[in-house]
Amino acid sequence: MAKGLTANPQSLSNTADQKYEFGTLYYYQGAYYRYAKFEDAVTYAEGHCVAWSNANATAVTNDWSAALGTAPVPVAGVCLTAMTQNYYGFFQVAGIGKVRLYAYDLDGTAEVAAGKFLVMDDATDGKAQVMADTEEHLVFAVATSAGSSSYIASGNWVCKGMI
Amino acid sequence: MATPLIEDPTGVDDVSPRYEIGGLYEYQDPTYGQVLLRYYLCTSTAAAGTGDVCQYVAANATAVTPDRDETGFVALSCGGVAVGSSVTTGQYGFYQVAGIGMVALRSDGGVAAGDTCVMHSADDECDTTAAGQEHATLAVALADDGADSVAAGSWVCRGLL
Repeated sequence: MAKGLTANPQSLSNTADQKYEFGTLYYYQGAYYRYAKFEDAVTYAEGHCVAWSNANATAVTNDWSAALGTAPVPVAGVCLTAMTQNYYGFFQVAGIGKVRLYAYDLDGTAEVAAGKFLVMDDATDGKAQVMADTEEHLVFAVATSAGSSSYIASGNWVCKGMI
Repeated sequence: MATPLIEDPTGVDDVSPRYEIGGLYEYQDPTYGQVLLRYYLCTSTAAAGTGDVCQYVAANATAVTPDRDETGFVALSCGGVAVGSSVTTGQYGFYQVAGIGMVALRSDGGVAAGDTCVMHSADDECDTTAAGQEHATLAVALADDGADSVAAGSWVCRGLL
């Protein structure tokens, strides 16, 4: 189904030059990834949601106001590391979460409870929040265990609907 | 999970099935990278053209149609986007279900960049997701559509696998 990577995509990310093909689905140890340019940075961190930011699916951003669409915007994937603006890297699109996920509950402060469906927040860049009514089509992940301190730990969330 | 496809799927319009009907295939598009396709029977009263948004026919996940009026169609249940220039009624072809859009996606003329899309009530087309249709999302548009389509490479499949 996908091209196999021989090393962890987290370690292959954050390069100044493009090293991998855009568009293609990549596989590494039970999870799937895509590759893009990370632009319009609001200081990236591991576990940030990223959304599409150009018309040809080669660039993403963690800045919801710079992403395509009306907030909450559709999520393209989850950032694997602290990317430098306009550098290239992988983001996760399917499988059990391989990195922590930056997320909180609907009130903006509480931890996410187990079983909650998540969309991209339209207040804090890179952050996910629990889905509200009419946002069902924007769900990109499910929390399988409760989060803590603004993050859901790796292995405690699952991608949904991004491929 | 998917069988590699060597043949260019855009030219497939088979009188008799040459692939597993309903099967999942991976194809390396020279422009848009790796995509996933399914192989279906086209049952519509009109051929499925490039980029047509096709829905499953009732009780049979091996056949699709771009015709919204066809008897027995399953409302809002998209089976994929036709990639062949023409899949004749009663014949077999490929339909994209994952990856960057390798053909122009037929739309109603009102889709904007960043919109999620569902099947439109008009034949062949998709439309912007409306309240109550969220479960049926099939793609994300990355550019505004023109009169009747979102350009190839400017949309991404969503939720068809």
